[in-house]
Amino acid sequence: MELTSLLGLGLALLLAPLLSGIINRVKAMVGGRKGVPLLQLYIDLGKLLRKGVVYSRTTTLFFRLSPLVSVAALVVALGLLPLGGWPSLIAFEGDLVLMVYLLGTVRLLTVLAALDTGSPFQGMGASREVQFAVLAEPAFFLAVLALARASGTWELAGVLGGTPLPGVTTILVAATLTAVLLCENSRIPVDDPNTHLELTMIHEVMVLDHSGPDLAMILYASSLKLWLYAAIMVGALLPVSTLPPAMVLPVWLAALFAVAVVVGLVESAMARLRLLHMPRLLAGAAILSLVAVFWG
Amino acid sequence: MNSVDLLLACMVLANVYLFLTSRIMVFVKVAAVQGAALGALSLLQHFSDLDARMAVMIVASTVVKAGLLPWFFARTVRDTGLKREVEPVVGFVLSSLLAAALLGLAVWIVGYLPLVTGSTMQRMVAVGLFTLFSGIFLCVARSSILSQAIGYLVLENGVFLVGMAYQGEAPVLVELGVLLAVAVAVFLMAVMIHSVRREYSSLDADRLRELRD
Amino acid sequence: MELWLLAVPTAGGLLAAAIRNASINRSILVAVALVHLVLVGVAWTLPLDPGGHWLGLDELGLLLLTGVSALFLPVAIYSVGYLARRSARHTATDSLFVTCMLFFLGTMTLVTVAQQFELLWVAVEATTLASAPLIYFHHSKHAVEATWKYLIICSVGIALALLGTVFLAVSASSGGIEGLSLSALTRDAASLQPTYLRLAFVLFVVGYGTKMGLAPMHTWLPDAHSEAPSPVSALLSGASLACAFLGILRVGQLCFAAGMGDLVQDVMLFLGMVSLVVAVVYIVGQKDFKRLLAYSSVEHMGLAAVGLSLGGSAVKFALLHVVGHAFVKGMAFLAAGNLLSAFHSKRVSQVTGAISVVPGTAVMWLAALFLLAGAPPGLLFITKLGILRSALDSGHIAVALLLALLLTLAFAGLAAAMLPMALGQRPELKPKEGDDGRQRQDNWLVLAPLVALAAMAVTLGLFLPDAAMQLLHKASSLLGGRP
Repeated sequence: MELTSLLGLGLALLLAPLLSGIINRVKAMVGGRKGVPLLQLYIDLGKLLRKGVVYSRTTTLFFRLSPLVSVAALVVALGLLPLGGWPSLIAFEGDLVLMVYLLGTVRLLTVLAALDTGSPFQGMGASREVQFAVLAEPAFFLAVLALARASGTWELAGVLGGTPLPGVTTILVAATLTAVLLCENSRIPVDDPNTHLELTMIHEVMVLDHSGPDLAMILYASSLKLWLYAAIMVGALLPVSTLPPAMVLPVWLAALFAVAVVVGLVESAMARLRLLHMPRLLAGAAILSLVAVFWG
Repeated sequence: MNSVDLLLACMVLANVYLFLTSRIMVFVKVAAVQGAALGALSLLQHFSDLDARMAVMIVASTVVKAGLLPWFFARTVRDTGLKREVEPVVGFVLSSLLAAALLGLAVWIVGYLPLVTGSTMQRMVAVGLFTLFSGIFLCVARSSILSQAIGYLVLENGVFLVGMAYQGEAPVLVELGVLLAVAVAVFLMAVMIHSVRREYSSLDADRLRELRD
Repeated sequence: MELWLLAVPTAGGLLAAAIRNASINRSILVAVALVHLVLVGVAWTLPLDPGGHWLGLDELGLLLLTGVSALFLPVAIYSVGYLARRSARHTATDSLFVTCMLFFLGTMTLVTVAQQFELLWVAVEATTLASAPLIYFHHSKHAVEATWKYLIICSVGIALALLGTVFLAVSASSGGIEGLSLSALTRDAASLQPTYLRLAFVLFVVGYGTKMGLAPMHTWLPDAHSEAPSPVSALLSGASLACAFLGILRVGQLCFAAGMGDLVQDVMLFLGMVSLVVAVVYIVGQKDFKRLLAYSSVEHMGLAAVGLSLGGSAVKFALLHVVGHAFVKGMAFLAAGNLLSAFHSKRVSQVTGAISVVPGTAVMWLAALFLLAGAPPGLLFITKLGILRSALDSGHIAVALLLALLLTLAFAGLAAAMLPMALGQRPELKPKEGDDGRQRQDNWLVLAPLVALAAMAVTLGLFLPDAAMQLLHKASSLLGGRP
């Protein structure tokens, strides 16, 4: 357990809510508005933590467990990643599988909590979420497979170790990971984080019934998830090992924020895709990675 | 990353796009992109020993494959007023799975072929075979006769790419002959497409079933 | 010599394209056909020297070229009568017809004289392109459909043959052979890379086999051959299928020279038998007599493929069969054309008692039936019997039995349809609009060619000239045959 690894994790935990602030600021700037402050999510989290919580009588244990386990799982998942160019907190053979299953656990509990409320809207959101997961997970696996082929190892430290990749693989895997990031984090064009219309929400609708600290934990968990996916992208594609050690952290952080900016730009430029066309996007992304797999 | 790999990647992605879309204008554009990529590839291959005849040949074939023939098809699409979407015989999910399977098949076949040395050559032959399969897919799995004609063009592009991979030096006259044959075939196909539209009022290949036992 | 053989039809075609006058065009057609046949006759007297790099006439080529040219002249004469009596509603010009016919002849000639594989490919594709407008000649709805299927299926098939040519080039260059000329490749056949040669052969069979009408790639054939104008159908069935077969034979030559004759024989046996079975299935109970003849072509091509596969003495019979089929099928289609214009229907049920309406044609129709079935003294009798005997002699008993069964069934199917058409009850013919009795009668222009073709088939069946026998032996020895 190295100090630098702790530092990486600590930075993640501290700075994750900043990413959503960056995205919103970029969207505001593109839209010609001033927008909310960058630190808005921190303020929201603080506000929510001070509020009381309301539980519906139909809910059971899962509803209360879901926010807690989400945060916990994501923190552990972040511990598995090499962040900031430093080695990860925990590393072993097969840590890749553990990470994916931790993310799966988060999704499972979110879905269960949504079903727990007994409301048809949450149920609808849960079913859509799982539908997209069926497509997004193979795409993600294929991307990781391509990276594993290119780097020759299955461990996260190797896959995300920042070795330079052939250009074609970089482009293809980047495309796939972007699509997966947008899908898993409920960004446009997959899902609109700002909508609260019943028939158009996917992720938002699942967390409608949470309140107070629970909602704070869920929002925090989402920002951690975004940091996680962005870190995967940067770790896979940025040739960190070719940079001088002193430059690694700043460049890494800059790349992470750049990912947030790109997400903001994509959100401003596109509208949400019709649900019918979602499979095409994800299947296309999966095939891009498949090509990258065969390319190696 | 060298430019040959980049061009080959472009071709693969263009082919994959053929499987995922059902709009005819996209087919035409993909065929044009393929023609351009083939021209660039042949230029790169013969860069060191380029002489006037070869240069003329490359330019001529690129102009025909990337410009003339796709333009012909685009005009046919516009003239026939075909609605852009084609009824797929094979649905979206199956098409994407087929794309993956055919790509895998092409790579697998290359593994079994002797005389294919070096990763660049392997990639070229694999991409060429995949293009060939994509052409056949377009002929079979999309129900418009325009798709069949464009599938033929894509198929020829695939054969051409495989030929290029083995660095065969075909005499210029023969290459011109092949090009001319393909161009005339496409021209005749375009004429027939107009006739089919006139007689059947539709470009759906499923309607062409009147001759039967 | 080869250049003359090519130049004459091409020049004729260009001339016909430029001239609008219908009767001049028809004369050009007949004149070119005559000159072409004369040139082919001269070629028989010259020593065969296929050493040329690009063009050259060897035994195999001369054999098939003779078939093509000897069929073309009667068809040309028939076409004059055919064009003269079609109705005024018909808009396509004689000029287009003659031009395409002459280009068709020129491209088929190119297939037979091509000594280089890439040129062979261009030639076969060119025959497809030259004949497509001919199939479309009537501009009817069905003709459009038939032409489309012909164009797309044959082009896709021939594109696969192009891949085969590429693989052949790879095979050659890895063996250190320069270029793709037939003579160079056969000379150094032992150094051809085997895997690629095998791949090339299979692709050639699939590609050129599509054009030849081997099942299961034959699906365009019944449509195209039945919707085309009858003289065109005669050429397609008689000549074009033979030229496609030549494509397969060329690569087969290489395989035999490289010691891979087994592959050739196995593949051709399989495809030949499949074609025979498919053809018989569709011949029995066929309701359209032109489609009937088309499926009969599939049957005969299947038989030729089987003959090739049996080796030994069957090979020369297979080659002779292709030539004989050209004459007999050509005659059958021309007779069908006469019946069509007399009865205005392609359905077997609507054509009966032709003997009382168009007696000359009816007699020829019956003659075609018997010649096709292989009755003596026709040429096809010799060839079918020869192939059957070869099968028995070489121990392929099962093949021989199957062949006998299938050929009998095919004859039964053909007879069941064709006999009532010629004999049978005198029909009630309602006069059609704009039809005078003159159109129903046959003039000498549409009868003489049939008689000529029948005479050729019978004469050759009775007496095959020595020069022809020598040619056959030489050609078949290149394909695994023995005298």
